[in-house]
Amino acid sequence: VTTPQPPRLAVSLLERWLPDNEPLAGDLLEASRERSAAWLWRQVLLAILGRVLVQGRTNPRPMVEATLVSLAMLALLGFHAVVASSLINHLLVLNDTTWAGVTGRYHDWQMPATMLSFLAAVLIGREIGRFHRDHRIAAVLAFLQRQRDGQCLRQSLPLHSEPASAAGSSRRGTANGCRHGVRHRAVRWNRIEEERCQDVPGDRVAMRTAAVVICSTLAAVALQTPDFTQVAAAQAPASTGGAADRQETFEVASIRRDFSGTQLGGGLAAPQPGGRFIALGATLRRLAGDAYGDLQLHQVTGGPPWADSDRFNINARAEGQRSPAEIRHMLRTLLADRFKFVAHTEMREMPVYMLTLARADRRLGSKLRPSDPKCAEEARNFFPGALGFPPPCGDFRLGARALTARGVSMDALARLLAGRAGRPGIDRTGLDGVYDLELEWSSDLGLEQAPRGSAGAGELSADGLSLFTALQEQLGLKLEPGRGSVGILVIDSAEPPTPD
Amino acid sequence: LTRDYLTDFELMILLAILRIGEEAYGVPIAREIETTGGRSVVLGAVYAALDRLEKNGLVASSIGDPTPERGGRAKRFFRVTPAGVKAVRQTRRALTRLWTGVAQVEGGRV
Repeated sequence: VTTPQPPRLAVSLLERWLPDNEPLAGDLLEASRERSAAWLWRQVLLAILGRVLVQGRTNPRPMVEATLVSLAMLALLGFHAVVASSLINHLLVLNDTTWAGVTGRYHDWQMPATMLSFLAAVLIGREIGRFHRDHRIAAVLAFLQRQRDGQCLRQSLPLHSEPASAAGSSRRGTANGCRHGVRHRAVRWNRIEEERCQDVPGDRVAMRTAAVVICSTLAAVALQTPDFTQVAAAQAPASTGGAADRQETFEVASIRRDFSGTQLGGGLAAPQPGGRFIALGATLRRLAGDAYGDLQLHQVTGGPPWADSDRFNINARAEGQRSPAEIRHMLRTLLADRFKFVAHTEMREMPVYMLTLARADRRLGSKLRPSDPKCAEEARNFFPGALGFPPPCGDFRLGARALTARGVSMDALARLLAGRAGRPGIDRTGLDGVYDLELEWSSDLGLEQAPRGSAGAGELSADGLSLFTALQEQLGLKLEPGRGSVGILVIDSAEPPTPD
Repeated sequence: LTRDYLTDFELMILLAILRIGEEAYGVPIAREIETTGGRSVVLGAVYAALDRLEKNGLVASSIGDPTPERGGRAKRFFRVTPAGVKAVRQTRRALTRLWTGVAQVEGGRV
């Protein structure tokens, strides 16, 4: 097998790692004309390995230095990835105050942020390596010293450098007169020879990149960046006294204690058409969950003891037609005014159920279909609580052995299903938009009864088709237990409501 | 660090250079070892050994002109120095003395 054109990457590696061995590179290219690409790759990789081993044996200090610097950079970049993802999350929260406390999207940004950080690391490393190939740490320290003194260092060739490598070093980075560097064993400052000379643009670039890395790290530490999410969430969705909240209030609101003795979960609470909000036998926890993004009960923690026991009927009305989101905003203001309600949101790691695609080819089940555009539009302004079958777009009908939904997002489906097990649900399907679905199962086995660990996934119960199996077969979805970051609303304080 | 005797790979390289003559550079040296010596070689290892031999004064090298089939890269020609020839002879004598009287390798039988 012949290779008229040798693999570019192999040639590039050769030039990058063996820049001072032109004859070897030429020999490999010449010989590769009669050989396979695999032969060339093997030769290139073995030549590079041999070079590294020889360098490590003859001059181990740079290798140890490079290893330590690499590990330090890895740790630093891991931290920067968290910083970047936190900042993105922070910006999104400023733009949309409703979602941050509801989903674990903060973690969705970590992978892109990590990739960007590594890209930045490659560029920084390239710059540093370009100008400080021989003595990276010592050279950076020397630049810091030079910056302080307004002087630059005169290059003194390494004690053990071969003539070829010294010439290569000179050719690569210091052709414009102001050479820099320190002797191999001269980390001590008194060995560094200094003289005034012209600035080198490359030196400044390396200096600035190092300064940016150091300053951004210090700034991140100073700002306690890992808490950005909490800071942002505390500022945005739970800011009960914000200007926007004060402007958005119900025109009329009645809050009365419910003494009917209902024990139905947290009660009923939902925005209604016509700018109305109705709550029947709702606990404070239920009301808080509804006010801050339709959270489930287990996503609301803290609060006074009566937050789960005292129940309230609320009948509130705003002027004109209002969207569910606007009504929820008004409910926040109402809670702040009448319950002296103060809360903040934060992200917490906890057991969750993740809704994922069951099939590797990402094919959906026959009973899961994208909704038509009209239904998707109706779902945007959907008010829960409407009766009838089939459900309106945006709503579910959940029975003992059947689930029907129209125009619902996968996020809503995940939260509905996982909510039955008392856990938050996280959508990991990657499916955007809204869907129609019909699901039937013959077992009474609910999520809350599913075997721990396996969550009953893919198992048939004794008397028929389990919900988990039905999910996979009919919708092409899978519900898996795991741990995830979930937005939690923490009630800081609340008081019994003031009378009407 | 100089040694009194050559390794088998160094010996093969020196002999290959001597067999090739004036046109001895990386590719023909490796080819000679592969075809005559019957072993596959890695060019990087050949150059590492040649650098070592040059450092010990057993070979000398010179840079030739760049050629298009090599991507414009120059060849590095090698020749064996008198010290190198002496080292080959010493190694040969040492090996011959070691072979002498070893019944298992005499007469072509193993």
